[in-house]
Amino acid sequence: MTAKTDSRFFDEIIAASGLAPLVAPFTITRLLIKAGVTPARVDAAGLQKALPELERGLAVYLAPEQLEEALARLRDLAG
Amino acid sequence: MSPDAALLDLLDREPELLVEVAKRSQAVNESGQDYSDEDVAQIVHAFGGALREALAGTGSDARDLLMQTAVPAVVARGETPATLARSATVFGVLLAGAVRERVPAELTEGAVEWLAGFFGAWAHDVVEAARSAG
Repeated sequence: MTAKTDSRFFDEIIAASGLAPLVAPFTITRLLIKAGVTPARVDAAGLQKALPELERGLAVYLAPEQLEEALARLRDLAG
Repeated sequence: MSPDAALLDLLDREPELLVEVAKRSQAVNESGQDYSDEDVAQIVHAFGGALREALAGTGSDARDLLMQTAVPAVVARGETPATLARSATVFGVLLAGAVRERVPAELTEGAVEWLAGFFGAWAHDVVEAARSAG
């Protein structure tokens, strides 16, 4: 697994989240921080750690079928 | 059945009601900001969750996340505390009007009073969150 630690990985999380561009950066940043992960330094391990918090947060914004698709993409990204 | 239970039942029976009210709100409100259908759908979905958890008394997770994420997002787009207060008022009045036509007559007053309290607190919290974000 390649360790990605730059902002491109954050952008990949944003894209995988299924959130609308309006709310995605604010929401992912908030959820990562809540999970104890620094957004600017997030890597696959950090994403793995944040998955439960991301699932709870994304469930607020996404319909169930969208949520399942987003979680599958995020789990793939987390390796 | 209590007024809040009647409102929860209505949201279950008519899952598109909040989306319809949001579209009518946009037409009335003329905030000047352009939001995509995806923006509106996701924020309305989250708002529906906040409304449901308040009606059911199950916490404030959806409400808290909206205040911490959607409010700063729309402020970054150009909304102000004043325009957000206007939006909340328009939405609340239109939803109360829709509810009056849809809940049993004996529960109408209680349901509208519940919504008045909810939207009063909602507008207050949105304005405070927008001030913090701005």
